[in-house]
Amino acid sequence: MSRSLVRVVKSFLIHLLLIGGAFLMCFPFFWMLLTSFKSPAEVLEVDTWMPQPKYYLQTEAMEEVQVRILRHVMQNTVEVELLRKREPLRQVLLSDLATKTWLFSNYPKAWNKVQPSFGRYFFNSFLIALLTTLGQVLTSILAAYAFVYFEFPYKNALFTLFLATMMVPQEILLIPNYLVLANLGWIDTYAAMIVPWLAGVFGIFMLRQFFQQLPREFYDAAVIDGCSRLGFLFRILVPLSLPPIVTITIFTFLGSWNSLLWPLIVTNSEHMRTIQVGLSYFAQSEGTEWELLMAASSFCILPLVIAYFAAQRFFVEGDTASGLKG
Amino acid sequence: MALRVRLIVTLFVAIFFVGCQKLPQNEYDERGRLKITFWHAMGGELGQVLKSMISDYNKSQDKVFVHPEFMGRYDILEQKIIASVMAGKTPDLAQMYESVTLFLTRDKGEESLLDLTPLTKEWDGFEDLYDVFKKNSIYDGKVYSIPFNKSFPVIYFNQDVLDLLGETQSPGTWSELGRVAKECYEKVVVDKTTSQMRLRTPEDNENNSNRVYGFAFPIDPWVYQIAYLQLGGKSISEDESEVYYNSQEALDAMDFWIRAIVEGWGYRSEGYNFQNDFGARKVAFIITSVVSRRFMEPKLNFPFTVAPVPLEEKRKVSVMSGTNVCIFNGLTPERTKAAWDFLRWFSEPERTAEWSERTFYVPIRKQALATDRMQNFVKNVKGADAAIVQLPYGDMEPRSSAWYRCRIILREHMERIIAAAEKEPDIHKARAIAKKLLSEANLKMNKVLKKYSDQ
Repeated sequence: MSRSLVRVVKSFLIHLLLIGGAFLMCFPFFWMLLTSFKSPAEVLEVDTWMPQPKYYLQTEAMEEVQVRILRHVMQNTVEVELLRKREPLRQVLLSDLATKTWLFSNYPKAWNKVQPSFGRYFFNSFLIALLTTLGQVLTSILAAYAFVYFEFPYKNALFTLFLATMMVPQEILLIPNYLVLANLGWIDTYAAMIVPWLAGVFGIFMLRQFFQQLPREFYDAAVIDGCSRLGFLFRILVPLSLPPIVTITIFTFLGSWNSLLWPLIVTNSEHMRTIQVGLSYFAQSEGTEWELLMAASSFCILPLVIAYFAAQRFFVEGDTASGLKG
Repeated sequence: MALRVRLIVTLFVAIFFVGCQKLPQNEYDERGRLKITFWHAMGGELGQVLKSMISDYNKSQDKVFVHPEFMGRYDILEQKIIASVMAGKTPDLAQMYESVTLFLTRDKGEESLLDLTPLTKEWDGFEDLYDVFKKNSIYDGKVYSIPFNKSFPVIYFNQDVLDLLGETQSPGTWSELGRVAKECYEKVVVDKTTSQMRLRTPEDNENNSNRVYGFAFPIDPWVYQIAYLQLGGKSISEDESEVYYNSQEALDAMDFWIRAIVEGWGYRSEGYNFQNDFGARKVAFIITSVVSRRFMEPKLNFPFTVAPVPLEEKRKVSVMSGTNVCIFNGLTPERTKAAWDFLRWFSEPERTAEWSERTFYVPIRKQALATDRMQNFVKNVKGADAAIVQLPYGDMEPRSSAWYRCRIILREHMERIIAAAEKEPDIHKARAIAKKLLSEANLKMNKVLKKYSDQ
């Protein structure tokens, strides 16, 4: 077998593997999209992947109601049951029934189902995630910088203490944190959802490890050239540390965007709620409105998907922007 | 660079300070009505019904405005109630389970909730509550809560299966249910070509038809306890110091689930998946809360029946579930009066009938059954009375935090019993394992109860 043929086969197999992986990763999203166009009954039909035609009847009250055809009475007449309506069976002409396959109406229905609106929830989630991320990245950079480049008493003990806080589950801290915020009068404010998350041990740890790998000579050279400490940090260290900073940014933003428990604990009014609280409205302990939940999930992840594709080039550049070469 | 950093920092600080400001909250609304706050965890369709009824109340008078605040889930609501009590910043009313009420009155040793006894003495509605709800609202001789969203488990049947098997009525006992479920598993299939249910033929195989299971269930102490009590079992001693799950009744009650697994006609499901499986016609019978009907009904593409939970002859009993509403202590007399006025309004026969009709929760007042709304509901909606008929013989689970811990232990051991049955084809051996595990659970539960009673 020639070398070029081996290369082609190898490339083919690698691509096959990658396509398979990509399909597996994308499958839940396809399923979410397909489900968002189905009717409640269709959602549970395990053998049906694509939305199927459904029949609708306009009632005397000019309301469009889904019907189930029970049997053909005559050639053009069928006996139907009105779904979700406690009414007797009806005999109608087949021509009076409207057929729909893709229920685009699930989207406006889901959008309008929550109060005050998903628009408000988007704004809240975005504002909180943005400020939390900015704050956490900034505090992580400053703290990691101090831990690596400065000497102060009990430095290592303090860092170990920081790390130890990662082992405390959030649930245990809920009530004490609530009490602190209640005493500050911050319940039901943006501050309650942002301030407790302005510093994160994960970010500090990650940046500290990265800073330690950078040659100390960068710092010494900068200081000799008259660069201030903050100047070194923001002109040299931060540009060199883009990969971990991008990682922290993504993790913090996603963590904040997906947060459910904390916003529910520290807010009371509906206009302070976030996207995830809006989604929880469709899933209750007694049952879930799958088609609406999937429609709402689809438009909720849309900004993240757009943001990801818009910033994809930056992420890749971030990976290669390190000054450590050879 | 420096300018950019400064701009970002300025923007950050500006937005932060705007965010810190709390919107001014008035005690009265624009029409001069006293605003009171009600924390609840009713989302989705049920939440919409609650909102609409509260809106009706707000329109019905000009003194009080009830502001409902949705807290997402029961467990979050519970944490938030406890935190708000500790911070001294409670709402006026809140929906809560009995264990929370008990924690805030007995275990906590503080007067966090309002003693409603003097108010209920002047209200004829309290005596009209079903006995189980009265008993459920009284803690150490005092009334601390009013029943709110109460339900019973019911059986959901696929009517096509009953018709195919020639069953004219739904099974009324556990043994009958087991028999029909087994028969369904052996005889009924869903044709893959027509998607219709039909009786199995000798030609059927996995390629042309799907088997229909008789019964599917989650690991749930709620329904198990009903079977246990019906066989004459006792959950807990009067002083809550001892449980009796090492008894023959406890083992006999478990037999239904063991048989379902070992004989193959039943299977366990995670969470609420069994409800989805019922809708997908993978299983013919399930037992779950009557309220699930609100969510399942639009998804069911076949005729179905709802019937009361099965009974055994020894003791006619079923166990209710759901929460109550409490008023917090320390409110001004005006706020207390407003909160009580709303609770009374919500508990009027007409209102509790409306709540029941729109959500499937059971009405809490006996007089509600005589209302036109309830009469029409029961007459027009097939199986609407499946939970209502359980009201006269309804009972409740123990309410203490100690029992809550015991319930977790019981659930864990039920899970182990079912897991063992899944691996063990010999029913005698599966029963022996169940006996051992129930004794183990009983021992652990008694230890927990002792620990709590020593505190």
